[in-house]
Amino acid sequence: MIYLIFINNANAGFSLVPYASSDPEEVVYPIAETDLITLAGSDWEDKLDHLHLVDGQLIFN
Amino acid sequence: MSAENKQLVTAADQKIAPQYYNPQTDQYEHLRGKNGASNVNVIESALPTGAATAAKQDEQTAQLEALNAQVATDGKLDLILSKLSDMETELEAIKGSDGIKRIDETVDVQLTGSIVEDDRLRVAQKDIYDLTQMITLMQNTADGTMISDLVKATYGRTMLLLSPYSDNILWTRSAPSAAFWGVSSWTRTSGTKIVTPSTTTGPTESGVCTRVKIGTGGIATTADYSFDLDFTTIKALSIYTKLEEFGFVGSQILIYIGNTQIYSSGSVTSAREHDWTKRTFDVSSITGVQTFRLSVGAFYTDSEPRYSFGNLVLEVE
Repeated sequence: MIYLIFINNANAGFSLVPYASSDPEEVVYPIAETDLITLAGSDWEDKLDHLHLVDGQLIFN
Repeated sequence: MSAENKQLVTAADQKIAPQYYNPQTDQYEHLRGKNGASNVNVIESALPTGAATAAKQDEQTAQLEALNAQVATDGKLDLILSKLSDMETELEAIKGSDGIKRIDETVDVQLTGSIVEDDRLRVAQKDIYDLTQMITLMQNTADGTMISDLVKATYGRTMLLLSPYSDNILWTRSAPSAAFWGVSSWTRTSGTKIVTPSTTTGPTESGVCTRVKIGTGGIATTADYSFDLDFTTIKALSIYTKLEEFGFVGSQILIYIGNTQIYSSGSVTSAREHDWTKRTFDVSSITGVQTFRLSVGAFYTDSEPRYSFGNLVLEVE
């Protein structure tokens, strides 16, 4: 699992283990790595700026 | 005729001689003997206690032969030898197994105490401190003296970081927390910017954190700070981070345990300034002694970011 971190819908990083933060603005979105690769490609780590969380939906653009 | 009516036989001087009555001849006859004893009719006498008759001996001999036939046949011996061989094979397998303690290896057993008269084993408690020792211990941890020694060992560092003691021992006190962060140092791993480490005010009262500043100018630079911890039975790790940009956004914070990246602040342009933020990670999937590594990066010429890390805490399962 990949634990994607979003602040104000924009990606703010990730963790490879279950993660939580004291920052109330941070939202953690767990996703299977295979699903993330399907969405963003195998080089998803280089495309984090293209990931957005809109209304609880992960968007790649 | 009967013995009562017969004359006793005599010896010299008409004295009565040892004799017996012979019904066949119907008269008394001299008793005869040999080797100092009189003759005895064995056939008609009672068998002495404990003596065996020929028939009894034949019976026991037959039983022994039957028993020998049952036990000492080739088939029985082969079966027993086969079982012994199987046992030997199993013992060799156990002896060579890595799954359990090898039989030919030394098994360390450390036990102190004594066996007393009531047959109970009494084990003496270890590491018992009296009050004076406790006060000395507290003083040494308060001024960081003992912390400096403890953090030299992986297990000492791990022990100090265990919740809930870490706050009282380290993170609310200046000298102990400074001594802890002194276990390692920031090292530039790429680039040409000047890397300046320091300890400064931490997230909680009196405690200090480790901070690294990457200067302006030069090319993109990264710096690492690391030490080993034992993650056996550790369930969670938490750490506070703080980022001050002082210039154009272009920073990155990465945290690793071994080869596992437990935190990335994202792309170099997505990391943003933030005040002290507690980040908690479930590290129950990680075990054994692993290198805990903080890695920071500054990628633009006109930024002078400062990265701070404090209040590292481990929680056991």
